[in-house]
Amino acid sequence: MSSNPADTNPQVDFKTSVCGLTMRNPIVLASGTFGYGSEIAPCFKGMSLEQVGGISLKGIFWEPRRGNNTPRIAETAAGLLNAIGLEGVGTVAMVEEVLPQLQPKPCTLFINVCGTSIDEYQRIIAYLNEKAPEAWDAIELNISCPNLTCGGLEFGVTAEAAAQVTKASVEAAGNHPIFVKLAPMVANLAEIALAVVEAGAQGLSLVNTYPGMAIDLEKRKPVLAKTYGGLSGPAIKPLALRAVHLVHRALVKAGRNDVDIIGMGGITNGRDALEFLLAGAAAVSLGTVNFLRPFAYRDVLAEMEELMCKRYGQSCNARDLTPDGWSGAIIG
Amino acid sequence: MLNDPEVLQPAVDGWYPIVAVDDDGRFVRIDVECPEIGKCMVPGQFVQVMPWIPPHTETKCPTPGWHYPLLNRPFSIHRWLPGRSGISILLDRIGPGTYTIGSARPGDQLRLIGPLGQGMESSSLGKKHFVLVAGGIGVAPFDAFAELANHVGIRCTMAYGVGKMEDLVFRLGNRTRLADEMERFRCKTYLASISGESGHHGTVIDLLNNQYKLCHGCFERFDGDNHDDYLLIGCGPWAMLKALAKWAEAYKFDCTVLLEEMMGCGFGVCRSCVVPGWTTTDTKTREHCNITSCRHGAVIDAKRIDWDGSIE
Repeated sequence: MSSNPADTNPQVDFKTSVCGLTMRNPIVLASGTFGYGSEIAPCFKGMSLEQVGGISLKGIFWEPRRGNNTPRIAETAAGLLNAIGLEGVGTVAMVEEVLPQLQPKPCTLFINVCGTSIDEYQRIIAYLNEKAPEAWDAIELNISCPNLTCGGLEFGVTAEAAAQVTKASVEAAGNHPIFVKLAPMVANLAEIALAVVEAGAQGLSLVNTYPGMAIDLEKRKPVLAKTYGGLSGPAIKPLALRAVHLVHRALVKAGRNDVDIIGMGGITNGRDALEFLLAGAAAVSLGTVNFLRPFAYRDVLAEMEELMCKRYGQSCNARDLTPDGWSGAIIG
Repeated sequence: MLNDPEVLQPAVDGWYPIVAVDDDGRFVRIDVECPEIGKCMVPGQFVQVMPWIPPHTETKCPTPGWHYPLLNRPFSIHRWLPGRSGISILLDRIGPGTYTIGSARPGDQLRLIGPLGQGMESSSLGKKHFVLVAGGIGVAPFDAFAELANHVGIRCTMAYGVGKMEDLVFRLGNRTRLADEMERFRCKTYLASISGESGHHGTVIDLLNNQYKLCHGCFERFDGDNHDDYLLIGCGPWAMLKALAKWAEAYKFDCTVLLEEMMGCGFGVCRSCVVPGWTTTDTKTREHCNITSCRHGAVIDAKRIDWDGSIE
C-alpha cells in the first residue's frame, strides 16, 4: 500500500474529449434547460459556466420566435411534458448579442439549430460560421422540427430526410463538428443514426424528448395548449439509456467508433450519468433536472467521483467504465 | 433570454430548518430559518420549494426519492421572521406538491431556492398609500408589503376577496386571523365574498369600486383627487388581476400585479410561465413580447401585460 495521501483521497480527472473538442468534464447542460447561459449563472450564488464541460444553447431558428400559447408544460409521474414551441432569439441576435456575452468561452459551446426547411438549417449555420466562427464550438442539429416544405413531417423520422439535412448542415459548418440530436420515437433509430453519420455527422445527441400528452379531467381537454408535448425527466431514463446503448452498438458494428454520443434523458444523479457512460456515451447532458436543482451539475460530478472512487479505487482508469470512448481517468 | 431583467440578487439553493408550522387543516404557514433570504428579500419575491421532505435518518439516501411530484413549487414570500432571520410561506393544500410540503413539521428541512423574481419596485416607496388587493391565496405576499409600508410610513389598506368564506385563510368565524395580524402594521382589511356570506357581497373588484364610488371613508381619501398618491397592488387569479388592471386604468390609478403561472424552473430558463406582454409601458413605443412571471415578475406594472392578447 502506498502512503501517498492522494491514495486515500483519490480524485477523478474528468477532462475528456468529444469529437476532438476538449471538455473539462463530461457534463453538458442540455438545450432549452439553461437558456443562453450568461443570463442564468448570475441568478445563483457561486454558479459559473466554468464548472461544466459544455452547454447547448437554447435552440434558434433564423427568425426570433415567441413560442406556443400556454399552458406549455404539464407535470407527470416523474416527468415533465413540454410544448414550449422553441421560443428563441433568432440567428442574428445569437451572433450579435448572445455569443459576445459568452466570450471568452467559459466551456464548450454547442449551438442548437432548428429549421423548417433544409435551406433554413443551412442558412443559419452558414451565417454562424461566417460571422462568428471562433465564438462557438459545435452545432447540435435539432431535427425534431416539422419540415414545412415536405408536408410537416419531422426531419428526424426518416433516414433519408435526416441524412439530407445533416449533409447540408455539414457543408455549411466549416470545421465545426455537427452533433445530430435524434428523436427517439422512430421505428428505426439505429438506421437513422447510421444515415446521419454517413452524411457527415461527427457526433450524436441521444435522445430528444418522447412525445406524450396529459388530459385535464375537470376541463375535459388536453392540459397543453398544443395538445401533445415532449416528455422528459426521470420517467424516460430507461428508454433513453436503451436508445444510447442500441445506437452505440450499431455504430461499433458498423466500424464507426469515432462517432461520439452525448447521452441524455432523465439524468438526475451521478449514478444515472455513469450508466449512460457505460451504455456508450462519451458525455452526458443534464436537462429537466436543471429546473429542479440548478446546481445539479455539481452534485452529479461529486456523486460520479464518489461512486468511481468507491468502485475502482485509485488503480482504475475511468476508460474501463465504457465499452470505449470516455477518456477520463482517476489520478491517485 | 435577451430581454430578461437583471436579477435583484443572486439566489441561494439549500436545505433550511423549519422552526414553526401554523396549520388550520387546509392552509399552512411554514416558518423557515434562512437569514440568507430574510436579509436580502424584497416584498413580492418568491421561493421555489422542493416537494419532498427528507426522512430523519443518519444515513444518506443513495438515490433520493423526490421524483414525484417532480417540479419545485413557487410560493410568494409571505412575511419576514423577526430580525429577518428567515421567512414564511403560506400555502393552500390543492395538490400533491402542496400536500407534501404542507406535511412538513418543525425540525424538518425544506429545500429552498430564492429569493427569486422581481420584488416591489423602489419607486413604489414614493407613494403615500398602498391598496393591497388579494384574491384567495393571493393574500400570501401582503404581510411583507404591509410591514415594509408601515416601516417607511406608507399607509396601507387591504381588500381581500374570496369565493366562499371557507376559502378564507386562517378563518375565525367571519374574520381572518391574517387581518388581525396585519393590524400590527396598521393595515386594515376589508373582506368581500362572492357567496355573500360575509363582508362585501361580490368580488374584490366590486368592493374596490364600492369604496371608491361611495367614498365611505374606509379607504381613507380614496376619492379621486389624489390618485397619484395611491398604488394598487394585486395578487390573485388571472381573471381578478385582469379586472383590477382594467379598473385601475379606467380610474387612472397606478397598479402593479404579482403574476403567478405554472412554472417549471422559477428563474427564466424553461419559458413555461410566460404571459403576453409589452416591452414598455409607453403605449407609443411598446412592442409585443413574452413576459416571464418568474423573472420579469412576480411584481410587474399592470400596463406591461397584454391582458386581452395571446402569444401566438
